[in-house]
Amino acid sequence: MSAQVLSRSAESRNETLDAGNLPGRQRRSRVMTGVLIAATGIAVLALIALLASIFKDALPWLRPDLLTNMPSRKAEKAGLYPALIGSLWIIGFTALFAFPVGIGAAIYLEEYAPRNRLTRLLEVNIANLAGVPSVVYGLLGLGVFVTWLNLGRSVLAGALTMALLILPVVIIASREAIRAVPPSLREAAYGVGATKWQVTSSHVLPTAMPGILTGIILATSRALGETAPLIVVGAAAYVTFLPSGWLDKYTVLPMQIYEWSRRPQDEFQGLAAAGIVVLLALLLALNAVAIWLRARSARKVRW
Amino acid sequence: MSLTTERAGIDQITGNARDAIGAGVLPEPGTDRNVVISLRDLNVHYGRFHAVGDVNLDIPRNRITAFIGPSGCGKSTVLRSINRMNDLVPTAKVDGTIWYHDRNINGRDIDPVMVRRRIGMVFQKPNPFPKSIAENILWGAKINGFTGNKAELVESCLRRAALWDEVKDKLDASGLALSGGQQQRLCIARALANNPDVILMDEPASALDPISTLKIEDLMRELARNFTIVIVTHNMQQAARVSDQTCFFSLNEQRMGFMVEASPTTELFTNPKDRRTEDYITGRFG
Amino acid sequence: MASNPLASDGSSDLDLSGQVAHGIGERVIGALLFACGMVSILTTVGIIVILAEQAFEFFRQVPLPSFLFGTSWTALFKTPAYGVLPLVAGTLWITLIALLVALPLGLLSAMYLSEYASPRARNIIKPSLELLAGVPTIVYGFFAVTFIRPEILKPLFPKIGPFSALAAGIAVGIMIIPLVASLSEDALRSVPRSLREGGLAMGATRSEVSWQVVAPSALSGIVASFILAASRAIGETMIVALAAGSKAQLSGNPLEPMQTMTGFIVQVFSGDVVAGSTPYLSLFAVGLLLFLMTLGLNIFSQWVVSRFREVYE
Ligand SMILES: Nc1ncnc2c1ncn2[C@@H]1O[C@H](COP(=O)(O)OP(=O)(O)OP(=O)(O)O)[C@@H](O)[C@H]1O
Ligand SMILES: [Mg+2]
Repeated sequence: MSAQVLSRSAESRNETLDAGNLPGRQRRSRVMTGVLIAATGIAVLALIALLASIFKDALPWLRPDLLTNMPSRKAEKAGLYPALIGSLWIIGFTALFAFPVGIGAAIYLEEYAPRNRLTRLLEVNIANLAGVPSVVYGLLGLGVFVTWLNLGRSVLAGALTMALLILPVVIIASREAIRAVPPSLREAAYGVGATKWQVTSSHVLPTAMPGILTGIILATSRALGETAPLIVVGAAAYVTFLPSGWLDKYTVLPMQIYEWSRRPQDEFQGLAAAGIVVLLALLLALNAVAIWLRARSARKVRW
Repeated sequence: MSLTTERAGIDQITGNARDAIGAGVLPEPGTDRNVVISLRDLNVHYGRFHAVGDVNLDIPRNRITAFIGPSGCGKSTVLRSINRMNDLVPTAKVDGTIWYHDRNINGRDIDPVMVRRRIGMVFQKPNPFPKSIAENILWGAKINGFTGNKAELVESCLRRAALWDEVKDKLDASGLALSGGQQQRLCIARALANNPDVILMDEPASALDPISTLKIEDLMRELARNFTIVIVTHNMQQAARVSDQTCFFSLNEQRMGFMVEASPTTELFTNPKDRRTEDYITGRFG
Repeated sequence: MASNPLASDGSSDLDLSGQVAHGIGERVIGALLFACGMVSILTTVGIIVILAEQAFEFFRQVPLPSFLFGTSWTALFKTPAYGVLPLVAGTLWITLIALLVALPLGLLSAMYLSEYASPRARNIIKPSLELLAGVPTIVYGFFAVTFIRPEILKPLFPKIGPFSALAAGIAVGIMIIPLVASLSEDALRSVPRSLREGGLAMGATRSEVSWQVVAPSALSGIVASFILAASRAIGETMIVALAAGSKAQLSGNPLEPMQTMTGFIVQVFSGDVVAGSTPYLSLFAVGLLLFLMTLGLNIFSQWVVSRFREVYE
């Protein structure tokens, strides 16, 4: 141990504000700032390029009868009416199946589940299901709903498959909303002698509902954009009729877009772009509802 | 509370600094080698809120200066102005001059990073980096271009922070694996590694148990032989025990903080110049 | 005191009949909610059973080693070969390219948003990136085919064909930027402010604090986001179905078309395939492999988080 390091006499003390190695370090710091801004800029630019290039391709093909025409081999007459209606059928039934089960599971985990191994397994399981590729859900649906339950290539089979796909997202979002309800509210309700279900149904759920709805709408928008599982469970590529019941054949918007974009002709590329614009508009509308709900509930209830 | 604790104290402050503390008339900044930091007309705003007004103060070399006063009176604000930590608060605006020896360091031309290398800081809650004990100490020296013997530096800093004996066998353990008091001494050791001139401490013992607190206080006395220390504390006994000079801050009706008086510690606690100081230290405040 | 309705009637027994009815209703509801929770367990069991059962059939016809180590995949040809390596190689190529795009851009954006951006910039950029995350993957596939290949790659590599691993990989990469950015940013922001102040108070520059104090303190979260990104890239389907082509080949050239595991599954269903035939069964073998790979990565990322997370008060 050298003496200089340990003792610090007045003579050795450094009282000057010298820059030392600082100029170089500050230069490096500034360069890094530039790099960070550039990287973030590229990410945002990718989004802009994505939207701009699709709008540019879509513009000549965005006409009102796109929404009301049947698909056709002639690009000028082709529309996506059946796909639009099919998408509404699918997300409608998906929501119908996924919401009660998802909210039920969330209530179970937040309010009822004992802290034991089974509950832990359930939680890990849900986290892992959220990471399973969507095409694998397609194979599950094919095996269980299409083949085993013999539902065929029906709306029902597609919606059930989609419901399983979005279930983890619904559960996770609902749990978060339920967890945000302050414990003091539960205690107050228990304090007047309510049962667990009375507390849950008349205090916890109403308070958590805006949050749950927001999460659920976002999950639904995921179902609206999914293609791969529906290809596997048999959404048809070329449909010129509307489904009239839940055992009918169907197609959906992303499926129609996929079909069109696989054709070599430029016209169909344009149609695909136009289809994407319709799809994005629907998604945007759903998201706007979710944001509106969130804002409204934030205004109404404040803890 | 014993105010007659025997220690190398204010009586040994000599020359102009002694006069300055006593007389309330402050010399021209940069003229006295025994004054390390001089604040002149320091005013701090957070947005429109005037947090601290017109502080004038000299901080003597190799002494401990304590800031006391009620909560919210701007002690931390003044302390953080000294090493330009308030630059990190977007709304904060620091006016007036802060002299480090003969340089005004409160200017746009002065890089705050340069200031902080000479004026180190220890925070209220221990904040060791989630790295090993040795790396905690080496990091600051390394970025500042240290090329000497690393093991020696680690040992000497830990020894001066009175931590060496407790950790010498586990230098590679995480700094977070230490007790609160040990973590705080690690943070002090970390500040020493930069070989600073001044060490600012914002309530360094308030999160610690009484024994750790005493250790930190002993350590401060020890460090004051070589460093200039400024400490914020809520504990008046602590200020009386460790400091040489004490500055009492208070609040006006607009909740603006200002400095009531700065005196040698023994004087401030036995014979305060200002009525408000007396009220505060005898517990009649508020 | 005497007017207390609960105590005044002289009977010391509480009437519990209402409570018992409650008790039954409560238990039924509890059981129903439990059943809802079990649906997710059943889903996992269903996935494993369906995939394993059909894959087992498949492996009776094609031995496991020749599936795992075969270098030729021609499932839909007249003389089928079922060596999965070309599909795995295609998947890994595209994942690699995607990660090369997404990890640096995602992490740097996260660092910018967490350590540098003003609240105003954050309020604009974060929602934009979230928007990027909400765009369906088919849209990225279309973008790869109509923009990335012709407008960006073609000028750089004139020999690039209509389908390539590179175009698909870049599109997958752009798709997972928001995932990396948002998870990494969460990790960076959860590093306590006091650590940053500690670093700055020692005379460190902003970038030194960002990369040498904040980033290492958030390492487990950052690594977890990288692993999840890889898992997402492996499982991505529509982008590769549109942009990577359907030629299963072991190639070292990302400008060539390649088929991934997911791409093969979609290709089979875009044509006609007879249920129960060997090509049909091969789907489930490929699906099982895909499932196991992504599951392994997901579990790995959870392990990284729980094992290496630094807990700050
Ligand atoms: N970052 C900030 N933004 C806005 N106002 C602030 C900020 N920091 C402090 N203030 C305000 O400035 C005033 C002085 O605060 P400061 O923290 O300096 O007080 P203090 O004397 O250190 O108090 P304490 O003893 O409680 O630590 C307070 O009114 C406080 O609310
Ligand atoms: Mg304070």
